[in-house]
Amino acid sequence: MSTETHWRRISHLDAQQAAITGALRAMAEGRWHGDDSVKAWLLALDPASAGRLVARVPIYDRAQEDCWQCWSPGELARATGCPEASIRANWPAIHAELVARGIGSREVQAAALGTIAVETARTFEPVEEAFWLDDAWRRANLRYAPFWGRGYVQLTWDYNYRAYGEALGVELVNNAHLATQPDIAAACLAEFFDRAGVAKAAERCEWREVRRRVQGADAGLNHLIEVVGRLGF
Amino acid sequence: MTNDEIDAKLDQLERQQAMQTEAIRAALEGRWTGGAETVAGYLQALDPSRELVPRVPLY
Repeated sequence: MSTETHWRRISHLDAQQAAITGALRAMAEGRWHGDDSVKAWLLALDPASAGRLVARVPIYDRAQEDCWQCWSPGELARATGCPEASIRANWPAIHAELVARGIGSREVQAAALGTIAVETARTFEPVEEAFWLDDAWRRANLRYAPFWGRGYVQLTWDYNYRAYGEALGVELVNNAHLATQPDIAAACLAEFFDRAGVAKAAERCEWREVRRRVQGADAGLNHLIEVVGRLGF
Repeated sequence: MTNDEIDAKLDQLERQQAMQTEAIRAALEGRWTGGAETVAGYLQALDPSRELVPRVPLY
């Protein structure tokens, strides 16, 4: 093998080593998605994995404590009418995803809590649309099947599964059920709040606008207003 | 070092980097312990002499 080929291989190894170091540094510093993140470095190492990565963001102890700073689990259960156990299990990841996108204000948290209470029928779980019925019913009755509502904000329609899957680096179109996985559902909610202007409306305490951006109309608005009212807005 | 020795060394480095990449992918996907295709599994393969005490993060 020629010296030139050796140098080419060594140069490639050098570049890969820099990307591995970058990924490890991002991991140590808790940057899992976005610029200079574990995911970004992994895509640099292996561009063929684009769209096939199922990223899971760990919850750090600090984030877990932070998420109860505004309201305790019991206060959230009373305000939302949801089971306290579900709030304890699911709110930390949702809160962490909002904070990671710079939209973790008290107003946006209140909008997220109220929206989840409405959209999950007070379960505070990443449910499937009409979860009390079965897939046969959903396939027969929902025109957007199999891309029916899933998660905390009921991700619906194939184009939304594609868009949010691409944003999160998860293949959602062929694995729609992943949208009910709690960490992916949490990331979907935060991404939706950010890119669909829900967070901006919440910052202005425009609850009707929050509801319209989530639901398209006013259904569930009174419930949302009740919840944010109990949270102090 | 002969050409063959350099080739063998480069082969080994490429295999190790491929395994490090897989370990990072496992971490991103939350596979930390419990099998060969986990962070712990890849680290064990990269350095069998080191005993690992893994700590799985919360999700």
